[in-house]
Amino acid sequence: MGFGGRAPSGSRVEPWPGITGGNGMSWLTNFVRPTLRRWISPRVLREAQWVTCPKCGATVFHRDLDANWRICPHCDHHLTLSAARRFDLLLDAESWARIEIPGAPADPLKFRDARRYGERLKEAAAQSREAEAVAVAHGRIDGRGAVIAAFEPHFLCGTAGAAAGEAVVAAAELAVLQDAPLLVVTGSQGPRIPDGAFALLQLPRVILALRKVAERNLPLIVVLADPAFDPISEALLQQADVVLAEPEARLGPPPADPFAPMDTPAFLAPRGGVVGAAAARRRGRIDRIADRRDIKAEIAAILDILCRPFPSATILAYPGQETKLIDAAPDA
Amino acid sequence: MLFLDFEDSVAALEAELAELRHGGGGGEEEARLKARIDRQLDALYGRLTPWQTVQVARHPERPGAREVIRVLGRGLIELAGDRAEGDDPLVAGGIARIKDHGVVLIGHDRAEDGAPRPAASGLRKTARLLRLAERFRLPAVLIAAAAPAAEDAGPALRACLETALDLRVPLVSVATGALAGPAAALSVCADAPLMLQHACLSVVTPEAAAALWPEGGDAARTLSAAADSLHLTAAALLAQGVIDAVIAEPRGGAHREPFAAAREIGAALLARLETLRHVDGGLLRARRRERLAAFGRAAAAP
Repeated sequence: MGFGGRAPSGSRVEPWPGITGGNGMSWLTNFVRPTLRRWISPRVLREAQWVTCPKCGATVFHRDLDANWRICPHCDHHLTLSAARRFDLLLDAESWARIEIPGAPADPLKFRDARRYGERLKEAAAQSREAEAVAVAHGRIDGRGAVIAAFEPHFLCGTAGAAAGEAVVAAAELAVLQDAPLLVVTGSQGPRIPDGAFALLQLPRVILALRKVAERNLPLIVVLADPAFDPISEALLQQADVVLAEPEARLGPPPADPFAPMDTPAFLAPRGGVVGAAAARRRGRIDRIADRRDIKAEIAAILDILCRPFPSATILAYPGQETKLIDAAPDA
Repeated sequence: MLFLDFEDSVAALEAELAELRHGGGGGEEEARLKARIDRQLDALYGRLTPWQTVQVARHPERPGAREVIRVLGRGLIELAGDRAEGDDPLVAGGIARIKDHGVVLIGHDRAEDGAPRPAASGLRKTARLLRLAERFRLPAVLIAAAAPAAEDAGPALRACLETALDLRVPLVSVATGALAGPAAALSVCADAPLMLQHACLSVVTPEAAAALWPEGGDAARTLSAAADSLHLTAAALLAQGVIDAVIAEPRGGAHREPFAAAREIGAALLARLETLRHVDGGLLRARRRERLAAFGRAAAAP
């Protein structure tokens, strides 16, 4: 059926919804306004944005920035990257799928500061288009299966609450299930205060889940992306087999206001206890510093070595040598 | 090229050769000179005294562990940090491929000035890399151009040795420089401890051992006597059964052709790894422990 005013007789289809019934006002409210909205907002408005680099102050059209994986084309500063784009960056195209995170208790304390926490959650979900602060996907990195948990720094500043912990635990369990390496990308300003004790207890949960990954000898690779101010990221850095850091990524204790806006110069101002990637490397916390665009290749090279062990024993005695064992490997 | 004090004759010939080349060079004359230099080097390096060996092993242009590692490992991915408090620049490490097999490479370097440095962090880094090798079933290779100073690092050294002794993957070590002090034991804990021809390994430096000689003697002679008595050369250690094999160096020592020396090391390592990688991990560990248990036992028959 074509589009137009002349519908076949007898049809109940109204070709111009809103035109036929009521007065002129309803035509305006029912038809014109939604159409305009559809044209302009929210996509068009969001797209008409210019982003100011917090480091060099250059103004970059957001599409150019996005095409460059949110690395400032003028000063190479790495701005925070969303979890969805992170999956695009790290995983082979069309090889990956997100996994559904089992629901965590939302707003268990009915928390309210200047605003209702529930309201904040809804707004964050609308703005970041993520359900919570950690997203999980499984897919392939240069053909090798992997599970990635990525913090979404634009969902309430990536603050880690019950849902974030649940997502990291789910990712670890999936890695064990698939016998695949686990990658975690940080990006959190601190613990999710409104989750109360539920936020507090995510750290031990994550530690337990990571232990299962370690027991299966699955590689845990952590990508330190700015910022890593929450205790879960801290534990991940400690436990990781290899830590790759983006240049200028920072780790340290959470700021006083973990919901303070990111990507502003104030956000980059030095703060006590916070160290950058270069200093963290000197202090033995991280292995390598790599440009965001090179990280996938580095991870692929590392996994290529760690995941292809030499074949297990084929000869159970020393060639050409008679050995008298005094310690027959009691716990072998 | 820095010439050692027993290389005066070579230095003179080299100067002559440089002059000849500067003046345009005569093909035949140059070849004749080169042959003389080679003969001279063969003669000198064929009968190095232990103290001369120490000097060669400490030669500043001798290839460092980091350089050797970079030659050995295709696509080396360096890993940094001890995950506790620092990253020791004198300990290089990472994962790489040798002949299609992943390996963990660890290098212990000497400080530029030869002065001892706090080494606890470096030993922790070593232990961490060894644990990585164990976890992912990768053979570990230790290139020791020096032994980390262990005076301040007792606990770290103990933990590192324990990790090395617990490994159920092959551990191959190559001592390439002058190793002295407690941390030198790490090289000997390997399944296959190898040594470069002019490397040396001893419980203390000859300088420290010289304190046992009466004071007031000729310093140079005391040092020479101390080095003699320590039996620290590769040949002596091979005879004692401390090491497994000696890797020949290019003519005139590894510092004259660092790249060729690194390739020699690579070939020796590969041969060992090819054998060891087929051996069951528990057996490897048991045999490593057994070999050590034999040292110092009264009935230890060669």
